[in-house]
Amino acid sequence: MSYLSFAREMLGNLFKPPATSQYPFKPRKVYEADRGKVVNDINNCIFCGMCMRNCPSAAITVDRNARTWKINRFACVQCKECVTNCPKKCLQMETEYTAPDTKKTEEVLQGPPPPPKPQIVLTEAQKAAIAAAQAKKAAASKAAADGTPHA
Amino acid sequence: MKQQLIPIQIPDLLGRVAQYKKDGYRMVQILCTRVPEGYELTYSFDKDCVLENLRLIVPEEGSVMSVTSQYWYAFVWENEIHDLFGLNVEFIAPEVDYGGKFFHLAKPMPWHELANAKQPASAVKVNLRSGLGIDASVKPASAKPTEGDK
Amino acid sequence: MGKSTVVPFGPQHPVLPEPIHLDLELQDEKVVKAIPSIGYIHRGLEKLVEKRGFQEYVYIAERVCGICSFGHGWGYSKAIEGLMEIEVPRRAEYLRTIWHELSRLHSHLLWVGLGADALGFESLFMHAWRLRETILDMIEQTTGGRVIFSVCKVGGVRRDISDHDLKEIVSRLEKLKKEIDGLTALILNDETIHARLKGVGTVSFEDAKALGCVGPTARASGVPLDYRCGDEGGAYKELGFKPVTDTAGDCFARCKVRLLELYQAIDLIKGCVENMPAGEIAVPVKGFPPAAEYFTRVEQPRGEAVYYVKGNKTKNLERFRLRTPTNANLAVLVKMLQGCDLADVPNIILTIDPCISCCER
Repeated sequence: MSYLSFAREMLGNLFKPPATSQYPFKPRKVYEADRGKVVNDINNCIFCGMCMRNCPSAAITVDRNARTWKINRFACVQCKECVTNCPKKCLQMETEYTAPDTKKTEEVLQGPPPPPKPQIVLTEAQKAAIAAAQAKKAAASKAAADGTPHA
Repeated sequence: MKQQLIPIQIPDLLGRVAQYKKDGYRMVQILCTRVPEGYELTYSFDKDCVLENLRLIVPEEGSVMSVTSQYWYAFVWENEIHDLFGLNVEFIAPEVDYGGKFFHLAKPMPWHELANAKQPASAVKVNLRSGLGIDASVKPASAKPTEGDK
Repeated sequence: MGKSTVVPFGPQHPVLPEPIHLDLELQDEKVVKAIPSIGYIHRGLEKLVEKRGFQEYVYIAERVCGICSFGHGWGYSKAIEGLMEIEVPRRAEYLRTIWHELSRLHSHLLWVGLGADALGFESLFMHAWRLRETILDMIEQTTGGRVIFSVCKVGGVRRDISDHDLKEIVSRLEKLKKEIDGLTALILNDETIHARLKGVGTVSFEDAKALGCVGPTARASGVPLDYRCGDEGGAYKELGFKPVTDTAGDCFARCKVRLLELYQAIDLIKGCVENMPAGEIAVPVKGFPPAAEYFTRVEQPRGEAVYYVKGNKTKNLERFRLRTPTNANLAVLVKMLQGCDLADVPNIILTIDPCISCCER
């Protein structure tokens, strides 16, 4: 049995520096694994909506036709599901957390217009082959309509 | 882990539970699931890290006997089932029968409806993304003033 | 004939980490009857499983409780893996064990702090939480989050721990062990703590069995109930595991069991690091859960937690049920409070380590 058993520790604490970290005067220790906020490289995004479907807190909204990607940073729980499931790997998780704010707003990223569809140029031989196949198909359907068996 | 699931009928419940008590089993939980036929109750017992379960289907307007006569501590789960699902559990030991006041709830019997029950006509489909307190003036990416001061 | 009064305890009380309401019927200063009522932190998380797919529900299962968060994520993943018959790689099991034992360390140190706070010993509260910061730093370094790890998923784990990090964990735990030695010596020898905790809230061996309590509450009364003895998941079978028990059954014994479990957790982590197998950390999960059901259990810091899942061939599960250890210890709490003094009520409630947010999901 002892009394005042914490006395030695307490006296030592009078002369030691504080055990807490002196934030905000000293920067907070950040680890490489930290999960802060999700950012999107909008130029590579294909607006497939995988991130929206996998988000457990419904924080991301993707509009494929308007090519916008919206995130509600205060609903995000920093689970990294979107980052893991992104097929184009354009989503990244930064280590710094969202800055505090007085209103919950959504951040909207507007993507660039879609790249033009590549023009397909046909050679003469390909055009002739397509014309011949179309003619054969027209003849077959005419024969079927007339009732004669196709030779 | 081998999953032992023994289906029984309502009259056999107390006899089986008493047998488990005599054999030295510990009651682990009482589980209730809402199924179309009524309620599906599962009583779990454990001895030496092996789990055995009794499965019981109670019709919707039916009731089930309490097992507090054998296992006094089952009152926690029986009161919870009564409060959340609305299933009538009869003859809970009098000192621990809280008569519906065990679980403070805004709406009585919240889990009574079936999961994919037909919603009434006046029900509104909830948009998960609205109601998050989002400000109406959404800032587009080109003019990012306050957001993201890195 | 003494004076009879009813005193409401909670839902807000300085010693309670989470809200629970107890109506205490008093006769002079002695509690005659305690009537619990819960529901202040009920979020209906079991019902939410019908709206969220089975793979993303892990994040919700983790958030059932802030202290035992990894255990819930692990238990849910284990249940789905049993239901879908997925075999998890051994390395993932060892990693999960390491994180779970780190979780147990931080939970018990948190409890020591809260217990000291309930007695009024604020300095010990701060001291214990300062030691807990070392654990939280280790967890943040390996998973990215201090309290909610988000590192367990169906099929394995999402992050690996490098060999360098594993060595660092072991060396930091060695340093922590010396500080825990000081803490344990302090708590187990102090006269005031003896006077407040010894002989208070005694639960005998027969009562512990008859009241169905779990975890350190049961082990302090001599009942060797620890699911890690029979757990197929995790590395416990290979490491050889024996539960820590005590026979006194009072508040002091429960405190002692938790302090000794701190040492046991450090030894288990060292064993996992030494025997860590190489290999994959996760297997891909294809398809939906079949129309079947599965029970599994995990030994949380507070006791044994039971996870039940029932699938129905769609993305959403039909039912998920979590029976937490505090849910099982409520009955023994009601029994313990009968006949105690009003001044001992906060101590007794804290010795079952109440995690009411687990209790009411």
